[in-house]
Amino acid sequence: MQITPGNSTLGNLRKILVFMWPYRRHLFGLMTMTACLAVLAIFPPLVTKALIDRVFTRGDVSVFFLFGALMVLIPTISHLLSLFQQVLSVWLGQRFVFDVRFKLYQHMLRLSLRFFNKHSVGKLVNRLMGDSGTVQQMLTGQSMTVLSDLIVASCAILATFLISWRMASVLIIIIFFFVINFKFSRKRIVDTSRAMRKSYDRLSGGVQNRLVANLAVKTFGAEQRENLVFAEQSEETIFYGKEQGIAGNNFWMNVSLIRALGDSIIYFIGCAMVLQGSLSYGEVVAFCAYGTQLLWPAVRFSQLANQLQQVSIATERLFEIFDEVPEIQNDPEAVFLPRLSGKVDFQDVRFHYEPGKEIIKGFSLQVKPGDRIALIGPTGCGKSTILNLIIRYYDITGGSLTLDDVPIHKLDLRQLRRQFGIVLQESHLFSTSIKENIRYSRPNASDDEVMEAARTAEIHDFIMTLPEGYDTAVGDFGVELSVGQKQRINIARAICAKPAILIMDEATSSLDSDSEQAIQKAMEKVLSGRTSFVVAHRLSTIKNSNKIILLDKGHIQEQGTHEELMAMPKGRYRELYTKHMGAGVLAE
Amino acid sequence: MFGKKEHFRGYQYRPPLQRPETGGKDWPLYFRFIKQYAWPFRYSLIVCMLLVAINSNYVYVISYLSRLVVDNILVIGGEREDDAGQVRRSITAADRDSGRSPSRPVVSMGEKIDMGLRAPQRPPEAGRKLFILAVFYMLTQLFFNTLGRLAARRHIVVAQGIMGSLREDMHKKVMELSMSYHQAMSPGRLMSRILSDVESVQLEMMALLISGTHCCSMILVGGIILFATDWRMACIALTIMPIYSWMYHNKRPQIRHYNQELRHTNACLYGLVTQKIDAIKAIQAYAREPGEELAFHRLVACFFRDALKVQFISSVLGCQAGILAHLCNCGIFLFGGWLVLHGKMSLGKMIFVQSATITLFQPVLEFTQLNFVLQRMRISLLRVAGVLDREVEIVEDPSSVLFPRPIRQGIEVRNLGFTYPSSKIRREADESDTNEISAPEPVLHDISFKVPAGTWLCIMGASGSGKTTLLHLLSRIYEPNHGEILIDGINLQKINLQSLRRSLGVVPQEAQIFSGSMKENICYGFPEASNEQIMAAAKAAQMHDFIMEMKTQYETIIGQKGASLSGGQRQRLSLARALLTEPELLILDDCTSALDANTERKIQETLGEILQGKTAIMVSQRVSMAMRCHKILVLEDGHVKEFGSHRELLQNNGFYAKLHFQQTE
Repeated sequence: MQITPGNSTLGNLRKILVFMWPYRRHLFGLMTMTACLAVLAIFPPLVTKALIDRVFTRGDVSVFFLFGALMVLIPTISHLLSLFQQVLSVWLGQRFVFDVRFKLYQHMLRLSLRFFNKHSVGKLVNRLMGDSGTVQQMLTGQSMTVLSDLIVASCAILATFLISWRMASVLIIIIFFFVINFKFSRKRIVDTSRAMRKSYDRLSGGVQNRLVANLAVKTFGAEQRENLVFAEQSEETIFYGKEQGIAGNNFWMNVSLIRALGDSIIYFIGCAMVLQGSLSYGEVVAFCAYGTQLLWPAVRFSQLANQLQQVSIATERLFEIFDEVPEIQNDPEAVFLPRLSGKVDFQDVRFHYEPGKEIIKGFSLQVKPGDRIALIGPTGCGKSTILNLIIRYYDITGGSLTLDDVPIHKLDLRQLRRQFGIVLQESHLFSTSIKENIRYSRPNASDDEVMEAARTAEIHDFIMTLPEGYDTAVGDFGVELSVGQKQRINIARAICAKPAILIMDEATSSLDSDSEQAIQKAMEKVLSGRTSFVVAHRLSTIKNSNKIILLDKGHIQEQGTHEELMAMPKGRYRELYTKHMGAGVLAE
Repeated sequence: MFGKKEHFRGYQYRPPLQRPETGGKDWPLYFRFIKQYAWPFRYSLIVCMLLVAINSNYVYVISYLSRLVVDNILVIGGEREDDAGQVRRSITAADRDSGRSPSRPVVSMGEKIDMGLRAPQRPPEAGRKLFILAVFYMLTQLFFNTLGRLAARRHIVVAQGIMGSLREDMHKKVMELSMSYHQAMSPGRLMSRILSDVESVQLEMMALLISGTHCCSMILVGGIILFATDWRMACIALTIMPIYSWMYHNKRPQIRHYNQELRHTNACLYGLVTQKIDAIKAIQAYAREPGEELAFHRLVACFFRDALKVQFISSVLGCQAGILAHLCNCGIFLFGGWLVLHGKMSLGKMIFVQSATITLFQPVLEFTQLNFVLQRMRISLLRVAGVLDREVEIVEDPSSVLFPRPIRQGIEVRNLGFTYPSSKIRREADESDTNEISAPEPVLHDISFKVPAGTWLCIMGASGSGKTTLLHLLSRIYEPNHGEILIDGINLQKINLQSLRRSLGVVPQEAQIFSGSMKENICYGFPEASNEQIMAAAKAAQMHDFIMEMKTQYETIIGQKGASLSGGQRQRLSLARALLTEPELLILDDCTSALDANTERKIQETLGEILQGKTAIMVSQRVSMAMRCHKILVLEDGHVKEFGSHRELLQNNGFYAKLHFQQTE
């Protein structure tokens, strides 16, 4: 990820502020409270000082109760205030994250397939969940810390200089050491933890490998070898673990040493000045308290640049997605066709994913309502692309594609897509009940319709054997289904949509031939009487199509029914079919 | 906004959280682990605990030194009982006697300050004493700092050592455990057992030992010091501290409850988003975006409410506890101050008691939390022990013999029967996995057949008929429940496991790919293979040309981190891997299912050449493959349905004949 500092960072921050704008009052309130808290932090050392100097040292009993009351009151107030501040800050932060995540998700769902092909799922999930969190932490957490640090530190510096400028300079030197230690140790800590993480990744990667491919480990009897490798990697991880631990420990011990020695130096110089008579003991105590208040802000400030950079990266990543424009736009003057008849007309359709690399080079085809079209051809010939064009996952780049004689981009997008039933190679089930999964294509389908669809997909009987029938949960938290069962639920889903056009993209290619036959039966029922487009790599599944289209590199090479194609003596289809079915076909 | 009522969380995509049960003690288990894994480090551990115990009390030493400064050198504070009444006089006397220490006001911070009533009582040579004390003070700081450093180092070394040995044992055990266990547990779960659970056992165990020592030492020493210096103030502390720790103890489970829910919601959110983005095609195709937004909105809102609730509870707790601790502190300070003013206590002593009290809050709190640490340790420890104590199913017979090379008679299977482990055992494998619905039913019944040496057997049948299970039994991934498998008359269980594994070439149905280079993957079963051998194997599996097309050829990184291979390529790779070991007996499990017709035919041809004269048992869906085999076995629901040669079975007019007709019509 390239970071372009300066303008774009500012621009991104401005964009983020748009999300903050509705909460400007809360933000202002939060800032006020934080400032009040910081100011309140100045007083306790002053009270202690007054108590020690005026009451104990001078024996002025009259103000004892006044200062005693102050001593009780101020921190109590500040605790209460801090309660409100914390809750408000979390409310604001979570609210912000909520808004960002929701809007981002909303936006993402409308982006085109091209976008999803470009980015891996893991990456998108991280953007949505991780990066928004990072930005939120900075906005409500760290910015408030910075504000409070600024006030506390400047007040503390002022106070220490007022008490004694000589001691204040000593204090500054100590703080300087503190920051230097941080700077120096940081590098080692970062280096060692990076080495540690790398070595840990190697370790866990190895374990994962061995577990995923455990059958191979077992069949080759490689357990002992793998144990040795693991022991070696574990040894290495331990070494880096120790390094990392010691680096961190050194840092913290240095911190506490500098603090302890610094405290003692200040304290004893102060005491010496008390002996001399140029300072009171109360002032020494107050001074030490202020010194402590100064230490951490100093370290945090030295980290600030780093954090800003992280946030700027995270924001940039977020807005990279926000700035993505949905490719498929609904035409404002779109036509509403209540129901398509299933007439599809391709006229010299051209399409390319990237300019210059045309995938579909002039595809023409007339499909009558009720036709069953099969697309076959080698990988990369453009079979699936044509399906993507009909659903309008992508817009065509040339020629014309009409449904019921209306150009596809003139049809209302949502309305158009509701006319399809699709079954894809990877069968996606959501982790809800089976019923909800089938009904997904048409949420207002009745239970009877759901069951009807399941019957047609030949999955009803299986569902009834499950303990909770249609309410059985599937997916991550539910019953595990075989690929064939999942695929049949997907088919039921497609049927439940009551589609005008059915699309099957390699729906059976991940199945073994037994389950394939079971599904085949289901599909026959589904496909009859509907316009359908089928992509398959097993030729036996498409023999009954009205039209088989053999594609090659974006062109139609051969088309016709099974019989017509088989009748061509040197046809590619004939060649493919005989090969697939084994040499015995023609001999018999 | 923050009512006592639990808010609704039962949304779609958010199944209720399954909580690990808490409570219950397993002391024998704890001791066993401490003995087994901490015992080798006992000296380091004891030294470390000793150092921690000493180091914990450094606050008291430092505070005592400050007390000396205040009371004996600077001499600040109220009058002592013995010199009460003489104070007024002594000021003037001191002023007159010594010209050095002025009791006249000095200006500081715009305010006149007085050097105090008792400034004249300061000892002679106060400056020199102060200096000596300062040096001593700093040396003490240095000393304790060094102690702390040493203790922490020991801690790190011991912790890493314990973790390392536990981790290695876990890994070894997991590698030994049978396939059925691996199938019951997902790789992810096993991985978290080996890595994170072990780490958390180590962390909690060390926390228990080290912070236990730290707390005990501090509470003990601090308590004694408090009572010895001033029992009245100790009483104040003693009344408040239990309240303080009770507050935490009381709220802690609630916070944990919400935190668990929060984490669960978060995990569900990740799951939701992942599965939705994965299925974006379906969402867009059915135009379900608004519905998806709603589902997401509900979960994010649930997250929001819980996040707020957690923060609210912990902020209120923090506020209450903070105020309480502060009040205790003030109480001691003011009460002490009152005593000081009445001359019943010196200022230094008062400050000493006060700081001793404040430092006691933290260990008291930590001590009450040790129970939670123990609970956490128990949960991870039970998981770890669940793996370590599981019995290994495949054990080496001590009187085992080597695999007969070459096979002379052949393989005989007699009355083989097999049932997968019941779901109960499977459930034991992981406490949260309860979605087992099928009762265990025998997969194989009474299977008997013979494969003479040098012949090939093809096993066919519908999915679920037990083909793969039979192959697993033949390669001894599982043990049969009854019956036996004989190779040249030797029971499979009597054959040395290593030599068995080396003599078998197994190609599983789902090819297993390691992340690593192409070469490493091919020579997995025979790491010492020469480049020529590897290439020969790749050529035989129709893999060579494809590999040579890639930029880095045999060094191409594949697997999780590298280029992904198609199903067919994976199968060919796995075939090359098996061929490389020059196996005596080949076991092929439908290894051409994902290939296109062309490649499948090529592989069938080369397999025919390679297998010449070797013994092979394969599962196939293709009649074209079965036709090449000497014998064909058709399985149906775990029974042998048909057995014989191609011709015999065709005449038989059963399953095989039907399949033959289907595939060649």
